[in-house]
Amino acid sequence: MKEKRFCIGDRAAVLLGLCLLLGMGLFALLWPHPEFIDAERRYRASAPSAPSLTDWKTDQEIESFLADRVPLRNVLVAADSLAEVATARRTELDAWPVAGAFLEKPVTDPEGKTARRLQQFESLAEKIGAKWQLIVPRSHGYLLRKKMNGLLQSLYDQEARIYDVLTSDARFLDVLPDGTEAAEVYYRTDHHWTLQGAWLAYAACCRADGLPVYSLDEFNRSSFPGFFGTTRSRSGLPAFRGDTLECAEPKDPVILTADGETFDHLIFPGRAETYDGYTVYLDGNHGMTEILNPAASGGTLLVFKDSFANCLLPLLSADYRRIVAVDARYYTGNFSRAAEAAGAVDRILFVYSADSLINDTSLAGKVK
Amino acid sequence: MIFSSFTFLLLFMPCVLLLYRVLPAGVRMPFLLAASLLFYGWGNPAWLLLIFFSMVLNWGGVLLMTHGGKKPSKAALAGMIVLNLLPLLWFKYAGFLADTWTRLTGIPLDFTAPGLPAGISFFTFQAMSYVIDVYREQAKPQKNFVTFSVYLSLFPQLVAGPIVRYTDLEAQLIARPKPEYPEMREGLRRFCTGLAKKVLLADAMGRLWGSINGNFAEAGALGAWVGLLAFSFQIFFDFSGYSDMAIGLCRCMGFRIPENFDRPYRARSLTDFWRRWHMTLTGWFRTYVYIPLGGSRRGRIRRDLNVLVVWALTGLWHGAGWNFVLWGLYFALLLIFEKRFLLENRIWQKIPGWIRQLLTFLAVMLGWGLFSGFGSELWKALWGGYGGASAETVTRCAAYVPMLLVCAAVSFLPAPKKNPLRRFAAPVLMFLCLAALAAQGYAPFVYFQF
Repeated sequence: MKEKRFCIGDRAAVLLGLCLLLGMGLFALLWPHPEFIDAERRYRASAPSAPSLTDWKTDQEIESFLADRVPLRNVLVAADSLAEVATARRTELDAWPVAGAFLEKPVTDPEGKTARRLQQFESLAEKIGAKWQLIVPRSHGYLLRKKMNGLLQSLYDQEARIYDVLTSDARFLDVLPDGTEAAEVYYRTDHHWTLQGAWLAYAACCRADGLPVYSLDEFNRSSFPGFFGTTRSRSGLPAFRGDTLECAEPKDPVILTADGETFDHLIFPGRAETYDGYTVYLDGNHGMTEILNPAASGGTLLVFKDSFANCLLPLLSADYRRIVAVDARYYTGNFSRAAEAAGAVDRILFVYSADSLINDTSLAGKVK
Repeated sequence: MIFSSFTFLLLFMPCVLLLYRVLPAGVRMPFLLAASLLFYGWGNPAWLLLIFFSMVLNWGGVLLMTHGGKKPSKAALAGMIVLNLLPLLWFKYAGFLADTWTRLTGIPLDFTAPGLPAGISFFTFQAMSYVIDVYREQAKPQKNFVTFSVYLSLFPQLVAGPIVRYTDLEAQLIARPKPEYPEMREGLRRFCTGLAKKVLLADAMGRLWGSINGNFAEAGALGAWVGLLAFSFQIFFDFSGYSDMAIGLCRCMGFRIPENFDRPYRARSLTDFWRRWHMTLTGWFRTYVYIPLGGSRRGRIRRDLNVLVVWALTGLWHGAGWNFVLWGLYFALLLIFEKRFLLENRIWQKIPGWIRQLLTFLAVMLGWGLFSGFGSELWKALWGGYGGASAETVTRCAAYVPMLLVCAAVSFLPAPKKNPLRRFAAPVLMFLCLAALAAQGYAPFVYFQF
């Protein structure tokens, strides 16, 4: 009789390994997954289309289909991100875990777009016929840079060149000057500013327009713990300690109209339970939003913004009777058309992160 | 299909290996052929026509050549070689030749090359080795079409080698061994090692190199040297990783194919390097080009000329571009120089081994610079023509120091004699690779289009 030269371990290891891999593949292929990936804010790759011999894409479609449905995907991505951090390559992640926070990558402007954007804002404001201000808050990384090692600090230092251009324009409101305590004005796990950061911007706006500045105690406040924001999500890393999302809205009755729907409040507590907790403000991002506060003393404010302004607008609504906000990413049509739709305005405010100001192609295409 | 994809790792590989293990012997070859054709046609079904053409041409052609038991004529051999080379010339070199013609003569010759079928250089050379070996009566013609087709299209080594001579595989194909579990386990271990080399090391080095070669002016000298080092590691781990996976998969099916790499960056001379790097290709050129040209049997000058021819062809095999020919000739000249003046030189022999290893690696690395095709920009950056590195480059290079050290350790140090973690290495490496794939997406092999 032929002597058995293998041990049970070999058969078990081989069969277990191969069956585990096949099991993962079949799970990815056959399990009914929800179409929307919360963690990534996008839809999963759809099922492969009918193969075409003249335009063969079936291999890529199946691969994308599997990649979006592989079991324990979040665990795998987190493991890879941890491996990158463990091998000192955290700067290869989409958001960097540095100095206790998750930071967006430094923004640079090698092509001088900042100056061009200022000119475009100037032309647009002239067309509309109102005075304007600009808010571009210094980034979390920039404010935190002195706590980083020399190499990372030198990368964030480059953002100073953007602010050299901005601060040379009198209409720029430097709401978070260098030296501002980053932890007070930015969330750890998100790229947006905190309520305190938004209030500093609110105060600067109102002073520039000669309007009263109300303290946060004069607003209705609410807070939502357990907030894990965009930068944490983009890093792929697990996070065990979230932020507390803080909101404020005027005590006066207000009316919010967002893309045709009307509400009598500006904060949406139910949204705090969703994956994108930041949508508690103004029901998230909309192409055009209007806030009415008949009790306010100010006039009409037209705001061209990205999501940064979402937590700022509820504060400003305490001072302006009417605020019309336009988000280029969701508004079909250019800014001139939006201004026509808004009607007569007393003031224009541009609110963008540095990244949006320089790199957002929807802004670049619509600021006319 | 590529190995480092979910389609292969989670569906194709486990299905094929499990089924192959349980199928009766009579069905294994047809099954393997079907699996190999599915593997090859997955990226583009049109390529199946090409490989089918090669199968029919070489199987039928050789049977015709040897019909009646007669020794094939030289003309028949030449005809078969030309017919094998024609598709290669068409898909890979026609555009290059047309471009060269235009540049030399000024007469425009427009040619838009069709897409390059994966692995065409590999299976063409494999097919030619079969034809030549039969002509030389070193191998018997294979009458079974399925068996021959499996040899040509065996999926583990189809698209990126090792280049396997028919005589290496003939007996195994006929025996159709049932893979035993210890062998399969070893094979899977080897596969996981190769996959880790590709996904964890080569791809990481590729990202570093990619970020630098996009902008040498910003990279400066520091970035250029670090980038070239990264490229040297990328190309090694990509290719040797693929070979490991191919060898491992073959072992899972009971086949033993030749090794392709033997720690080449430990070489202490270029002659030694080329005995360790892509051994099956250098072996092919030695057997089918260098030796028929006379090798070293016809005097020193003729030997050197033969070396130049072989290395020009080796360069051209790697890619349709003058940078590849230059790369080949670069090594030819260095090898000639080494053979004439260094290898038996007492002073050279007295230099400590690690210094010779370093110098050899430096020569190889500069060769990869030629291979990369970045030409004068890279050379200018390497020698300080663009000045210092930008803050981004310095930060990026610093971030990759641990990975570069890992790559250097794996490349330069001898293999550990005993590895207590060996039992756990395969599952851990597979997990990390799946994690990297989940995060990275799709990344084809560097040598995929050769």
